Amino acid sequence: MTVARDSIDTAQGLLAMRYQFAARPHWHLESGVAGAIFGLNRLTGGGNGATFLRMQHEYRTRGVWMGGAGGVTNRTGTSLRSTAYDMGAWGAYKRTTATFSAVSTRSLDTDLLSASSLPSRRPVGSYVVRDGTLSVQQSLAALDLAAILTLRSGEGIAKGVNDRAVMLAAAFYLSPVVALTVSGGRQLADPLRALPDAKFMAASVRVLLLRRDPAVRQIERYGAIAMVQADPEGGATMTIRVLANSSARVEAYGSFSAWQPVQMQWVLDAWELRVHVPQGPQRVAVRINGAQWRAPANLTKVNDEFGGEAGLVVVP
Amino acid sequence: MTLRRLFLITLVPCAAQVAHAQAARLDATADAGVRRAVEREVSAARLIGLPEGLLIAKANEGLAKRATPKRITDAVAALGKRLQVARDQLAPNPSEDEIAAGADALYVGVPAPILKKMRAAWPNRSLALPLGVLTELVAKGLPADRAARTVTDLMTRGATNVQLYALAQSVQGDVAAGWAPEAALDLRARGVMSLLPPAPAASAFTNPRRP
Repeated sequence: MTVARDSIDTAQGLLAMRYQFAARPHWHLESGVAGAIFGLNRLTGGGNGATFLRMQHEYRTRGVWMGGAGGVTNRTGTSLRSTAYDMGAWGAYKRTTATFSAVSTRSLDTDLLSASSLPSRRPVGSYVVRDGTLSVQQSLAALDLAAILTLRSGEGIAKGVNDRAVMLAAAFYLSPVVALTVSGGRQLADPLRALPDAKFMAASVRVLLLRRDPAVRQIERYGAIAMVQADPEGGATMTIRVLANSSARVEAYGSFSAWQPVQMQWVLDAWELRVHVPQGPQRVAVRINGAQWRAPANLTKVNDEFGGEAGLVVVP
Repeated sequence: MTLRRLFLITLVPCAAQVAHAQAARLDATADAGVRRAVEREVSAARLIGLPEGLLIAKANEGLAKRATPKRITDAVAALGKRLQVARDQLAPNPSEDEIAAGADALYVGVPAPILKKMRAAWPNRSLALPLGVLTELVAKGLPADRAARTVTDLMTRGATNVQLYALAQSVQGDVAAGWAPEAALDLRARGVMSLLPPAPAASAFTNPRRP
């Protein structure tokens, strides 16, 4: 539900995918499509479709990306195209994540810009706006807080556009799959998604409906799990999964690695490591961002002689 | 780039081999004091035929966990004692896996005589997995005598390694779901028992009845 000065009514959907390169674990490709239908008081109703492609490099608690996006908006039977190129960087320290992005957007959707508060007169043909955005997010136990500052300049218009906007957002997690979100502030006109400049307040309930497999449900219940599946040729494959932020640094170690930390890999929606282990008792522990080593919650916890803990699993 | 590859899972097949290779040699980061103490324990273990690689692996574990030299040498010495007790209790010809599993069981609090009773129940089969299951159950909070009696009864009745493993997994799941460990063990053991033939003789844990 959205309530705004411009009385935006909209229904929208987004499908995003992330491709992890097996040979280059620090690189991945993100892609997606979005569609919306809307009605605006200042403009006629219509529809919008957009797609994006982005290459990202992640290393431990920081990363950079570069990508592009294209969108088409149709309000009166004429398709108005927009294209954007963006690049950015992010870094995390403890529970704080900061992101900076630079975006250059070219659009033929002059109606959208003239419907917004700036510029003062209608541009002709295409126009270009460049945005610099800084966002800071703080994660607490069950609460995420975010502040986003955007500075904008433009060209191809009679007078350059210079503007700024601030947004604040909060998400309170009632459970791993249900969150209440509240956000407010100012959204600069977004030609790619056909959103006009607007001050807004929004509240929503976010529910994650689909699950990939039962193991993911277990992760959400336990935080970290380890499972073994017997191999026909002897021993077993042990799969360790940890539910943590994708920007975290997640490691596992145990008797299988001579207690040397092994970096886990981000696979779709969780951190994962698969190792072949021999028959008999095995011990394993995981840690996030260099914190204390913990036993996977579904295993029997045993304390070691060195003041730490590990999970005990018997391999059949 | 296919959709199937989106679900590609990274496998790390070489970690176990790495562990095996590293276990044979003391980590280079060990200081002179730790090195001397470990070498002393290893020499003693070699003389009496104990698996020395386990002692080196324990020392490497302490080094990897950045434990103090005293803690490392104490842990290695304690493991040496447990290995010796386990080897003696599991006589006459325990395998390295059995000795390691026995030492693990002793570490979590299983009394040494229980190992001997389990050997009596399975004189000609590997006890590595049953000992692992017992270790897991005791570490879960079950009294050692109770857990050992159940596991040994199942062994005597002809339970397979797979059934023992399934028992441990089921108890683990029940405890995670909020069951008391003893109630979970009773329930799951009865389930396995129902699949087995009747006991041919009294188990090693049954006291002889007096007239």
